[in-house]
Amino acid sequence: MRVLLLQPPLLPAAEVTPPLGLTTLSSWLRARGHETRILDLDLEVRERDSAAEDRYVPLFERGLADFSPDVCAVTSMYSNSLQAEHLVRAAKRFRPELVTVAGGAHFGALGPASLRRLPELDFAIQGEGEPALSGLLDALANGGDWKSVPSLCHRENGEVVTNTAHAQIDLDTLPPMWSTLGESLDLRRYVATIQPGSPRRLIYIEAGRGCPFACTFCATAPFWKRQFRVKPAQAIVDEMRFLYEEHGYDSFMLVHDLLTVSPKFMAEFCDTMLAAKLPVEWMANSRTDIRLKGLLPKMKASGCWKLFFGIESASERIQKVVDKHLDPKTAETTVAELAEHGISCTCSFVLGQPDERADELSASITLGARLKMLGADIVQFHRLRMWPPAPITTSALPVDFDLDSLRIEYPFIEVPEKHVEAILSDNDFFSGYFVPETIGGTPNQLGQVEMFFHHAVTLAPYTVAGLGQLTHGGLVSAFYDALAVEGPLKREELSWDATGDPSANWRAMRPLFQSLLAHADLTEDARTLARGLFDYEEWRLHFLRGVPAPTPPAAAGGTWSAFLSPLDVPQAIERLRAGEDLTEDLLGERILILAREASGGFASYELDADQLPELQQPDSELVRELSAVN
Amino acid sequence: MTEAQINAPVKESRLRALRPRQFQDPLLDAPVKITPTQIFA
Repeated sequence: MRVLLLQPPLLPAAEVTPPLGLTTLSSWLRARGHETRILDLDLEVRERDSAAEDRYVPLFERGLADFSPDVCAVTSMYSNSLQAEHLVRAAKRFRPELVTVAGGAHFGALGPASLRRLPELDFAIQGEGEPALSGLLDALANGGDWKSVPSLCHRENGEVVTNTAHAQIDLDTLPPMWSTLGESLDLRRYVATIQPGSPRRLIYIEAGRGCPFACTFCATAPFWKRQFRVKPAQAIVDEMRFLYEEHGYDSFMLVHDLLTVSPKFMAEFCDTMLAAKLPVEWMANSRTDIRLKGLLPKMKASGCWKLFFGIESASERIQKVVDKHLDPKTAETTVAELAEHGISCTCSFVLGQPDERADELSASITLGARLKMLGADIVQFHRLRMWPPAPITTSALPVDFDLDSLRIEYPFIEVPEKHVEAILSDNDFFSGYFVPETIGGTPNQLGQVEMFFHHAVTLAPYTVAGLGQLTHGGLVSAFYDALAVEGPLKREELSWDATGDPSANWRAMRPLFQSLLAHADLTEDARTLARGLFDYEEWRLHFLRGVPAPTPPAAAGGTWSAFLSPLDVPQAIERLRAGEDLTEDLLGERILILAREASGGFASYELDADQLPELQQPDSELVRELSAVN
Repeated sequence: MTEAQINAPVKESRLRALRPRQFQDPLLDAPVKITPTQIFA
């Protein structure tokens, strides 16, 4: 049969990687004699105009006319479920006899509800998609009975019926992926989205499925029935080799909820990578309490450049509430240990558990800032959302809707009013757009915490870590006070893309940040320490970007800039990294100098404050020497 | 320190005579970039 595999638009991003679930399905179906084409509307939209909210349905209709499929199978994440629904309706409008099927994270968790809501949807697949979709196609092609197709939701005499699930597949049985896609996917179009000067050519590939843990907020562990499975190490490495040799990809995200949970597999994978001698790098998901110390040298040698950690909360109480049971202290040790081995990490936090207090949110944000200081490449703050089949979504919690929060993950920056109305009309089906009520703040406050600190920790981690420490749990409540005075940040004022301009984000956040410093409950000395860190980081950010800072430097030359600091910043950095207190003995004026070296690197110096007049004399020996730094 | 760092020629010796002291801010070595929202980035 001819099957169009459809990806709705996702959140705006400059670089697009192929939709992994559809790619796997395509190779699975082609191995069984079906003709497939992947229509990635995310790619189609980004290639044209990322703001074009109304473009994707016409692009889909053109795709239908070009390929003329028998079956249209749509996948969906929670953030694009409304677009998926629009596409299913458009498919039936286009040709009523076209068979429509939906699966993936959203429909795979809400199969029966999808059929009850969407008359235009013929079938939904619960959970793992490969055997169910090929089973359905076989039944359709042969006039067979789809009642025996495992995990398939369908209608029978007006009732929605879900067939019995089957055992999940052995991942050894998946065919080779990328090399068998034929004309169903043109990888060159994805390669073309890689930004000029990008340090790595990144693609996501599947390493396996299933995490054995049972965190209450997690949707993917129950989706895969908490059954840990991996592809053979050699098969993964063969995929990497093909993508490197044929398309130049040199960086691979090994998609798996928790790949490192099996040290035995990790050792085998690293050995296979070392034997393959591919000049590529990889990253994977881990937990900070999985002890990889003995494996780290081998991981690094085999190309591991980064691990992803879900840390979620700095509160031991919340760790227990969400059944994650991480000791937050291990996060710092693990991140520092990785940095020693030259491996970076992304650390992710989930904010807004129903009974998470504002002081616990403050502790998580402070820990995030410290992890950034200790070597984390990226620290993310995500608001808890209700994603079925996560255990928390079965507990009938009161939920809230917040437009700004939605817009952080929505496929389009502008959200039409009719979309909002549609989402609000069915908070079971669109529960991924909703957040549980929490004692930590109102929906708008939490949305602003997510928006502000996600960026503040990236751009000014010392200031956030220092403020977190000095306010003793009062960081978030001070932020709420500042918010009440300054008004909210606006989603469209901030770039959320790694290729965006950080100094533009800084300008958008600066008034709220300054207000936060003013509203923090601090002694005069403590406020001077916090403001000194803020001013230093503002200056550093602008100097590194080569753009003028809002406050002029104390002195500057062509390749250097001097800043008059009210505190001993170098000592403050050391204390913050060591987890020690910032105290008033750090106060005292001194000059800090940043200089751009000919190599592109940066040198940093401190100088006694009384040398400022020398720095301000263009012909002084000090200025001549600084200008010659290389 | 690595062997190469230990044996590296001392730079900015004249600067040192003028009393600037080098300090370490690890973030100077990190790229300044916006944090993406994609999970698993």
